Amino acid sequence: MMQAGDVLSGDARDDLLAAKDLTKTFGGLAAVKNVSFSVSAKAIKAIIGPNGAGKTTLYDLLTGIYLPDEGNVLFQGREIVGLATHEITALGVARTFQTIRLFTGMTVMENVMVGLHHRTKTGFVKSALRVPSGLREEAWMREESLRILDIVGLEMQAESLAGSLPFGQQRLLEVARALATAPRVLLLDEPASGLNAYETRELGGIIYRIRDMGVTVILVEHDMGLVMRISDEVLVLDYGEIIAEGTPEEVSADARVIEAYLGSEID
Amino acid sequence: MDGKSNPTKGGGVSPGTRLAELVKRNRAVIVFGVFILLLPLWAEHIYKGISIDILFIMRLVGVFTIAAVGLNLLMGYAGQVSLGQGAFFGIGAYTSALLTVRAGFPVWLGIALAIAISAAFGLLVAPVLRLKGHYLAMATLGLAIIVFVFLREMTWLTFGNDGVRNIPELALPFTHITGFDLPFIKEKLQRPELYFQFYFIWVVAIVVLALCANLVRSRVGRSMRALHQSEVAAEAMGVNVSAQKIKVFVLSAALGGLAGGIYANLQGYIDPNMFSITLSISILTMVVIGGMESIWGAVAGAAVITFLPKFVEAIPKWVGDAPKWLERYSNYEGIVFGLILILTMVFMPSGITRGLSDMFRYRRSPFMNPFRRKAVE
Amino acid sequence: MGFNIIFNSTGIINFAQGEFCMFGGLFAFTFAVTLGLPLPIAILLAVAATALIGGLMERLMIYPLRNASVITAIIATVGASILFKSLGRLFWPKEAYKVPEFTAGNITIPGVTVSRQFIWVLGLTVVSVLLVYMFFNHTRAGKAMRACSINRQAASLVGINVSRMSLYSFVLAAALGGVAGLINAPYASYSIGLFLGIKGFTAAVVGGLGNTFGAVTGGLVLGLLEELIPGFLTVVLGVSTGYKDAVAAVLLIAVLLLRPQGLVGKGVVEKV
Repeated sequence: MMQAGDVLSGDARDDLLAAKDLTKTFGGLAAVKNVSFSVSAKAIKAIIGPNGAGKTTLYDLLTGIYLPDEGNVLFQGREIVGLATHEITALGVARTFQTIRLFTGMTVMENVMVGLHHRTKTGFVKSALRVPSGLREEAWMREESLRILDIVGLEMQAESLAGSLPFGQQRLLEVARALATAPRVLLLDEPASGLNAYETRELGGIIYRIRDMGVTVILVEHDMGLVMRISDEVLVLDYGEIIAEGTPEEVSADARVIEAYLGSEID
Repeated sequence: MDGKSNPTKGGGVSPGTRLAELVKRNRAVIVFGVFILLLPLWAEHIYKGISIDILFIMRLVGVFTIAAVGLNLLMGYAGQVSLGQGAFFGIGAYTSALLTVRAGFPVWLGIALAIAISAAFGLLVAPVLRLKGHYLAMATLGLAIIVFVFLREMTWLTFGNDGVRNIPELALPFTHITGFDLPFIKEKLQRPELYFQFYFIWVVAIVVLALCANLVRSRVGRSMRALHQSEVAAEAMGVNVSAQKIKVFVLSAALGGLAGGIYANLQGYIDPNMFSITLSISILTMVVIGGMESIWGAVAGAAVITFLPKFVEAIPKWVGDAPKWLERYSNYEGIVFGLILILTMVFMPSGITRGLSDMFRYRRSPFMNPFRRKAVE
Repeated sequence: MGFNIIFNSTGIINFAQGEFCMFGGLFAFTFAVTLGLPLPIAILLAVAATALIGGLMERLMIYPLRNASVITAIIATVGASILFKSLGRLFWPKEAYKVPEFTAGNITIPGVTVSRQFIWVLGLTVVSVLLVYMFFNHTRAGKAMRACSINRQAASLVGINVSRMSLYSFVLAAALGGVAGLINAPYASYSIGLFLGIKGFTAAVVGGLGNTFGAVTGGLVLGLLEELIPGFLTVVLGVSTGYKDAVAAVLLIAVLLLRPQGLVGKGVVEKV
């Protein structure tokens, strides 16, 4: 069983995840157009852009929820376009959802334990018979999920129903649940939206901690303060196309970026 | 009952603790098992009191419990509505009946193959699981109709509407060889088959219930509930949603087949009309009464639905001068089912047992008002 | 078509739609035969009574469930279906009731002889389809109902009374079901509901849910298949025509699996 904290072994590549010429069209409208980018291991990369710029669609392409019309996605040098979402997750690409999709009727701990699903293997028969190996695995899952909840500071709420958590904690639980899949790359979709200033600061710390565990973080986010503070690189999308890429400083000085954001939403 | 009462850290626990844990964890099974074990002692008294042959009916309750628990795994836990559980029940019943009558198979083998054939049929039609919500419900209803029509029309195999007669009864094995014909046993047990059937069915049912209860609070059960609440999120968490749905569906079909197989050998006669849509809807009603996401609720649901007609039939015997409209319960059984389904959905969408217990205590969290529980998606 | 209307404005598939047809036929019998009313009045009353039942169902059951999950809604309408069926059986216990033909006898058009009843059926179908089409495309309420189907929230934001539209759609669907039941006459029985229901749903799915004309096409396709397949079965395969009852269900599952957007036109089913 892998541990969430497994640091990349010696062969750490520069390009952990790379997209090449991704294009996806919905009814004649290009949601994502010729998008190419890459992230190196242990980086924090932010993807920003006005609403409707294609950020969530890009995530859906990376995680196999949609098939791109054109283009490839390479993860650790391996083509992952065409794999099922759960296979991609098992390889090490995890995500959260912009519209929170927790299993609201289950406890916080159970939510995280679902994230551990592909790292465990007790099946129908063994589960029904409660064989010792299954019980050991179950115990491991509980410990492991507590450990992961500790990373986001939710271990005290382990037995609460996920749906009863306040909004900010639901966002954190989404992160914890994704973390449970032992990702190499974690795709966060607007993790700070709906959070107050204090919670956003906490979130920044958590993202750093996740990065320090050896996980590459990609971050779609509207909160520019957070983006500028924590990311190593920023990618700017507008109308499905990349209009700028670089360090936070470079990007915020880019004329096209300013133009794209003008009149929209700089916080 | 929800998997949180087990703080043990895996191996290295003393046998005593483990035994205590085992008892604690399975207390529902144990209490219920003792109840079933002792029930025959009161059967005669109950019969004198309310004119209902409780053992006779409890056998059917056991059978329907198995079918209902199968449907509840699929519908209550994994969230896939099926209006076709009656079809698997029918396939199981016909498999067992035809194998024993036509091919002379022993009853136990007939029942075993009933499970296998129903499960295989479940696997065959599993592609319908690609459909969601209303479409899945309609498609499974369609399946139920197709199975019904084929049972009726394949007369060369199934005897059609004439039904299958003289199905060997589920009986104590080797009765004629071993000493069960001995007079003292006869004297004590006037109806040995009945007792045997009662115990056999309930041993099977309790084993099924216990295994399912284990299943739903395991890794597999969690993945089922997860995909119920959000397929996309479950898939993104690494759960192979379609494979998992198929497995639950096949398991549910197998349990339906098991129930049907036993049923055929209990009744001695079956015909297609027993396995029409009404059966699917009765099983659905059992699940609804027992409560979604409730394994033991299946017993309650099966008991209510099975006993209800018997109670109504028994009323004239209690009061002597019962109103005439009570005579034919089957005439308004549908009204009762319909009202139960509608009223439960409107007032207690998580089922009657759950709804009642919610009324007395909010579950786990004061933030959740169970009466206003909204759709997840 | 009734399926389409309810689905259109509420996103709910009503399992009791077939029972509306049953009520249509049985009410017509009661009004025309038992009470001896003139046929046109009896028909109007039957449709009105069925519509009333649809309205009651919406108010008492669907409206309280407007925020419930899909499973809840399905189980509730299944419950309504079996409730209606049993009520039908309670009040009209016989296997079949013969509703008088609208006008007896046949008409001979050069070359073919058709029963007057057939002309009536055709006429009624055409008239209802046209009425429904006009309603949805040329009246405020119709347009509002379509809006509700596309986005309930947005519809309510622009001032459409979503709950009233839901009520209307059930009334309308019930009325149409009633008409369908009349068309299905001369024989009406409590037991026809479910089979009619699945046929109606099949027609709607074949035509593409949410597409009124699609439903008509779907109905025609299904009708043709149901007539052709039994012949095929007996002549080619030499088996009983009883399998006919399974045609709709087989077609339904096949279409749902192979072409979820319907055979005709583009549909509304999409990955969520």
